[in-house]
Amino acid sequence: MSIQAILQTIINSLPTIGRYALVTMGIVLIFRTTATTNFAQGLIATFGTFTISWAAYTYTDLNLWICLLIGMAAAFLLGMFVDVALIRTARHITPAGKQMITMGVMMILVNVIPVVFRDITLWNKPGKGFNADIVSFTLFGMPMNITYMGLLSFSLAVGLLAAVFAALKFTKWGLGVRATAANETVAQMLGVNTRVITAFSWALAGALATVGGFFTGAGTALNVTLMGNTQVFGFLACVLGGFGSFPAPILGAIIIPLVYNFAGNPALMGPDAGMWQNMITFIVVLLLILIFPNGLLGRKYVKKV
Amino acid sequence: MENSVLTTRNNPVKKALRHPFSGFISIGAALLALQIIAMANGGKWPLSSTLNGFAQVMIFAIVGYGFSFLLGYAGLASLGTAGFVGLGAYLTAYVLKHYPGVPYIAILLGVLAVSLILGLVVGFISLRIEGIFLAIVTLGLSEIFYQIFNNWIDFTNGPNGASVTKTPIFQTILGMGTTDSRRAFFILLVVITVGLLMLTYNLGRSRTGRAMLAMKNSTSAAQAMGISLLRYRLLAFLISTAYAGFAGVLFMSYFKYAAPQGYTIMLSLNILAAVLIGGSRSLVGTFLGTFIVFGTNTIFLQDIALFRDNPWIINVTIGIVIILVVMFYRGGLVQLAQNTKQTFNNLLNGWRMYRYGEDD
Amino acid sequence: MAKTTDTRYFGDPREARKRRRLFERIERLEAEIQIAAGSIDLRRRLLAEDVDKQLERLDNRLKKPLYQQEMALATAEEAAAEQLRLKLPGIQKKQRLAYRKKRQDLRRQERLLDARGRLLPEKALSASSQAALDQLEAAQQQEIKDLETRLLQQAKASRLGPEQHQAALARYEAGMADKEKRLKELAGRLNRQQEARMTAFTNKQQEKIRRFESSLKGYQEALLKSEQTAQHHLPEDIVLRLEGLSMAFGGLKAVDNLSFDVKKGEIFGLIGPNGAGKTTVFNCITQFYKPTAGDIYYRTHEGNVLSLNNYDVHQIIRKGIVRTFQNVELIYELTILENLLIAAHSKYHGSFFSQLMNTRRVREEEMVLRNQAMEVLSYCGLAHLKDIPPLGLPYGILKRVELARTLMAGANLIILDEPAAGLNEQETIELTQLIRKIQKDFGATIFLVEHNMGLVMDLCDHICAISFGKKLAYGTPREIQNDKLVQEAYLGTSDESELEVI
Repeated sequence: MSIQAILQTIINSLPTIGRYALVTMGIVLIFRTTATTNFAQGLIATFGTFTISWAAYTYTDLNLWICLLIGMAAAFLLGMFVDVALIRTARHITPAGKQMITMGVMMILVNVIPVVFRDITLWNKPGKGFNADIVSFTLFGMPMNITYMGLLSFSLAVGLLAAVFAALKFTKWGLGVRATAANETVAQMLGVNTRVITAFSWALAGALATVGGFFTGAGTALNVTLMGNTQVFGFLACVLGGFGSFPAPILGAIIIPLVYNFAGNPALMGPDAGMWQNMITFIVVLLLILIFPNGLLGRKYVKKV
Repeated sequence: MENSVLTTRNNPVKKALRHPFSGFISIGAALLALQIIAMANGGKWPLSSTLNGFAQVMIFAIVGYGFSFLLGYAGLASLGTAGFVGLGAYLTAYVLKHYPGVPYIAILLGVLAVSLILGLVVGFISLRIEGIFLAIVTLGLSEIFYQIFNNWIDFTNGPNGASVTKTPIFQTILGMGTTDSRRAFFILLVVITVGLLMLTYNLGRSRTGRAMLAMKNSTSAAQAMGISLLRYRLLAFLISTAYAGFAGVLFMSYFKYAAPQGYTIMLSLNILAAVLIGGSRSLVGTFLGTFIVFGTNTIFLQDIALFRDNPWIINVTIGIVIILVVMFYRGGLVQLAQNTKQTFNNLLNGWRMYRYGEDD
Repeated sequence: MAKTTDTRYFGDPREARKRRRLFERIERLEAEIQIAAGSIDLRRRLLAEDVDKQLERLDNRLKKPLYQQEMALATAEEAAAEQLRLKLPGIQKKQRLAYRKKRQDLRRQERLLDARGRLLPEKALSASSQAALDQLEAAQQQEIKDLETRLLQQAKASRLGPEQHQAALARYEAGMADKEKRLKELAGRLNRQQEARMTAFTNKQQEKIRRFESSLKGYQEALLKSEQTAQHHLPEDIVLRLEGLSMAFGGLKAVDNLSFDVKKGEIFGLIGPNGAGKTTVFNCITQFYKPTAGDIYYRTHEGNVLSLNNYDVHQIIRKGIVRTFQNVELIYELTILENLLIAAHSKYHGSFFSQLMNTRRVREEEMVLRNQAMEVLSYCGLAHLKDIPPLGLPYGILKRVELARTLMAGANLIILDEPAAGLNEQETIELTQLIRKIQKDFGATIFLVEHNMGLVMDLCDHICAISFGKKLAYGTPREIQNDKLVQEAYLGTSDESELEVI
């Protein structure tokens, strides 16, 4: 496989990396503040994305970016609702139990969303504000291509994540999140309003994931299983990178799309590549996780007996 | 005159009735009765669709036993169950279609062997990865199985689903007609379900069950007491995948059709729901939970237009029930039954006190 | 690193492997012998119960018709008394309920009850109400007397005439004789059967035991012989020897070159300030951690020496070493009896499939071990708690359950991790007595870590004091108390305050 092909594959992976990074950011935010692995994350993002579509087609002269904000707001509220109504009430339950609660939410959402957005099939016509242009540029003297939307989504993802990390580092909210992530009880004793922090984290996670969902669904038919694959791999990315810190899952979010695209490249894998793409990616990721059970950037804790 | 009054202590019949096995057998007897009534009046009542609903409940209850052993005794969560059931079903279809001479027992053993190997794999993975992260990995596993079922056309016939034309044993060997063979298989299914229920019950009360509970509650104590974590974790997964694969074979043999859409995460979640609702350590609870999750819409609510046209209502309700059970009623139906009995006793005693005063 | 220690001890890796295999076989044989021996008694008891049950069933069946005849033959008084005896409980119950109801109604009339129907404190019925109740009671007693008279009259009326009586008596006596004969017959038959079965079974088991014992002897001789070739001898009276034990976590040395001996049958104490590494030493001995350096030699109760570093944590209990935990690690989902059965886990030998089918062998094993667990619980004074889960029980009780658990495992070396932590004065005294009793009755060696100096000085035969993972001193309690280093590090000297702790 030539250098150009390799580089092109990497470039092609960038938009996916961006989307995954957004999703994993949400997952790790929720996990570190409430010790929950939110299996309903994908569906909350789907909810947001469907809201965007609804807004775009109900209010036809609304700018697409405004619709995106509306969708993010919807997911924001839904995430906050789930935290306030369920997770906070169940605070004393083991993480495994909270995981099961999110599975329950998953079941509810996967059935409710198609009912609420009954006419979604009418709305999925791409083209509204959707620019299918391809941008060409040169890298190291070799011609490269990237779609306009891809470039846009990657840039937006990078921008959003940079903003979130900046917020984590410099704002009071960020400090609160880091404190709660380290030890919720102690943070409470130090005066951090953990309830607001966790609710906001859930909300933010939903909003970020919606942006990811927007770019996943842009230009394709919308279906309630939109984020299914992304969510599964998003979680695997978090396990791969490590749940121990906020930037760690980003590493996973980088690795998985790269593996996926290389695994699906016909030049590398043969003509049937598409069929085995998922399985190969999964096996590679699984092997990596087995070698580094606490994540590539994680640390091992020895239990004191 | 010596005390020559008759004694009724040590009444063996009473003792036998109190043993849980009689409960299991009565469930089986009730199901058999349904089938026999249907056979007697030529299928007018209960309808075959109802009986099929019960068959589905029984098959998924078998998956549930294995899952409840994994969750309730070993405390491990695996969301890959649907994949193993599907694998069992598709393997059966494949062998029956392409190698029609192979005896049914061979298929069963073959599927069991494959399930055991996969169970070992997942078990080894579980040794490296902690509980909630394991759920994530098995989630991925389930997704991969779905992709395989959907994409590997040669093996599974893709999204169109795989089917077999004849029920093994009853149609192929005994040459029964379609309806009769299905009825006969139903009876076989009842026997198998009750039998497995008894075996699993024995296992749970033996040292294996205790060892798993020890492992679940305190790995340090378990190890200090000589319980090899490796061995028992693997065993827990082996049991649950073997049961799942076995159920897959039964599913294909009874329903003669399998489609990838039937083996998604939703199935794994439904099984989880069934086990949680029933009470994760109780087998009868699991059966009831499976009945509630899988049986209500096919058996009861088909007649009500509201539920038939809006199947999402049931699923949403199940999701809500999962949340409620985890948050408030961890012990599921079994705990509910015990609490109800307790509350009833308390109320009764309260009334007695009110009416009669204390008993001195 | 750990694997080489056996070689160092025996000079020959093949010899070491052979020893390990021999040892495993010995373990297995011992377990089989124990189960076989236990099952003989058990089977005898089960068969005897079975015989009794069958005899009783026959007896009941035959009694039914005879009962009627008896009634006919009895005197009027006897018959009436019998009828009364049958009817009385039901009538009394009804009367009792009526009495209580009336009393409650009267109380309610006089407003002596709270909302739930209970009597308010220090309230009582007025004299008139009490009189009414007494009246009711009298009426009830009269009712019973009337019944008695009525029954007597009925009985008298239904007595048989003299010839009928004779005939009935003859029939009755024949019936009784017949019953006796049949019972004796059955008893004889069953006992013969039982004897035959028992003899066959006993012979089979004893044959098995003989076979096992001879193999066992062979293996044990082989083991002892191989020990002669060991390059390095552990004196007969030493049960545990630590040699240069070191455990480092990253850069932190928790245990540093620690060596001491524990003599057989003694109570040994390990003391040191907090963080000195005592629990780490335990965890190294029981292989929860693999030591980074050093050897641990252990002499099993047959006298064979093992290097513990070669074994996994879950294999340790089979060698006869059991430990308790600082934070009581009991299984809260099981009852206390079942918690003890966990300790006997390695003694079960039913296979997986036997467990599925709940075969006779599995059931017998279970019964033998349950009996054992009951005995252990009685020994520790916990028999009344056997069916309760440990949830919510007092800490002292939980610690005693942990101790009972170690007895259940048949321990040669019992390691106690802060057994007196969290116990009050009374409980500590009881614990001391129990530990002494265990030492005497079971002959076990006891190794404990403890902060309660009184307990340690009182109980222990020898003490080792450590600080920062290094050995400070070793000796009898008196010697330790007088040791300067220990005093400085831990006890504090006489004119300095207790704050002198490093």
